[in-house]
Amino acid sequence: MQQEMNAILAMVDQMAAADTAGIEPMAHPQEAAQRLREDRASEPDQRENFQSVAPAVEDGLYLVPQVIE
Amino acid sequence: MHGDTLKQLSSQLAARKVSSVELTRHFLDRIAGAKSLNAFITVDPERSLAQAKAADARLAKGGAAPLTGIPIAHKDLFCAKGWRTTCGSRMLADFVAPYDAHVIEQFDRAGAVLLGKTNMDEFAMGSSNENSYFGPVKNPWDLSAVPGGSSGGSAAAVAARLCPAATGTDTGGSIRQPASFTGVCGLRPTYGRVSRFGMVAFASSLDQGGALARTAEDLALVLDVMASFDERDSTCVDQPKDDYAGALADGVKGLRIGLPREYFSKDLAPDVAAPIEAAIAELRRLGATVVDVSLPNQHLSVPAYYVLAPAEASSNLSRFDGVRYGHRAAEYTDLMDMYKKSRAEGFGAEVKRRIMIGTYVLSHGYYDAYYLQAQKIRRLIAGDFHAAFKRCDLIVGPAAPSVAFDLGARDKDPVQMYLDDLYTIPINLAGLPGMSIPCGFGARGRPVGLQIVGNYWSEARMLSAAHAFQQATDWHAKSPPGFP
Repeated sequence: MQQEMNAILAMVDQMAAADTAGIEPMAHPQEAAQRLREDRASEPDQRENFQSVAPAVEDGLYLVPQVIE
Repeated sequence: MHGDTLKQLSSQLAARKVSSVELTRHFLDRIAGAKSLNAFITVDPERSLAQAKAADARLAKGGAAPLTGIPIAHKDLFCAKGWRTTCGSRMLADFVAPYDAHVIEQFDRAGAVLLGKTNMDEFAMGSSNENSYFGPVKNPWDLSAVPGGSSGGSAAAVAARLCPAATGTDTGGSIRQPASFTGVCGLRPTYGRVSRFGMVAFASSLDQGGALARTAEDLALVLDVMASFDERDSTCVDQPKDDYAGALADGVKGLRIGLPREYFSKDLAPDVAAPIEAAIAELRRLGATVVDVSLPNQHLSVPAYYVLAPAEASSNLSRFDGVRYGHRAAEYTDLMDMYKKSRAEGFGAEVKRRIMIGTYVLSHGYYDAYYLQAQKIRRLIAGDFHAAFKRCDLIVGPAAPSVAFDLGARDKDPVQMYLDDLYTIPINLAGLPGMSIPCGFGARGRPVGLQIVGNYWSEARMLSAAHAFQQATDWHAKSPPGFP
């Protein structure tokens, strides 16, 4: 695994040679801005539906090992 | 029946020469007879046939759409309510989706039948379909070859005539490369054209849903259903769609075809170069003119991609914690131990590699050198395409540097496998639409795909060029001898 990771990083390091002075980083191909919507509840309550696929639930809550003593 | 294209099957359904139930049964039988390919992860004949029955009722009433009653297979990362949706991973091996992806809703509205869920590289990470928890898919043209990936199951299923069309996703070439390797047509639309809602995320700024089918004409019909604005995907763009089927007759006459010189270098195998050059000659014969273009930063694509895609993946895949859904380890001591064991057991080697690379390149002290530098290179690469498209209408070249390789040939050397995606990755970084169509055969009778890249939102033009090529040639009509 370590050898593979080093090989991947060596390949990625080819980027260092590129001259990118003054170039703006590109996050979205269409330069689109995030859409905003009105702040109102639009989703119906589907708690039971969504919790039906959870590994462990009780009384509508997800169960995890105790975190606080 | 399975020899017919989607378009032909649609006409037969409309004329009531065949019913959707008959068609669905026929394809389900073919899937059952082609288990050696391992193209499907889940089939559920009862569910599929119930949908087919409903489609037949709609066909009888009138008001059917072109895809009403057509069985379509879906890559197993599109959530479909009530269907197991595994993403090719142990992490989601028992996950039954509680809702539908937008793409699935669109096919439902059109009256299409969900024929089954196709095999894929785990979380769409791979170029050979050997990274699936459910085992590798085999190439119908040669069972010792890979079908490509990550949409390898969809590609193999279409190639072996197990379904008329299938969905796929393409983050770095995952539709076009398997289409090339299996001799089918594959289209990755413009980023933002198809909603990613309900499509399990890999690298959100690069992922795009698309389709595989036997002809450009069939892809036009499928894209018409898939392309629809959806506000639930914040990067879906509200761009009016074209009449893809209606534009097919536009042809290539007078179009300027750009040949990027970087796509015809020593990296390209001679047995792939020959059919590609013959296809370009055919496009010229059909009235296109050819211009030389250059994509000088193309060599930086794979390095930049292997920063950006793993970075986004490491963030996206942090949701798999064994709490709300997915695999949870059987035994653990505390919460941290539960996270660690669940993820260690749930993810395969390639996914782990990419999560670690992604976490590393985003870490403090490395962020500028890796992530920001990769985003700057991304702009340089997009700029190369913008300059090229001032001089041409479409860009044409190979989809992959070689024909399909043998199963097991590359699994010890991930970097070599990554580098093979050098012709597809730049298109994802730029957010452009690309397709691969069959254009001949290379070594050992393995298929070769011609890549056609268009400017943003020019899917109609790409499809009409591909259609013109397919009206004049018959590469798309060849089928693997083992799957008559």
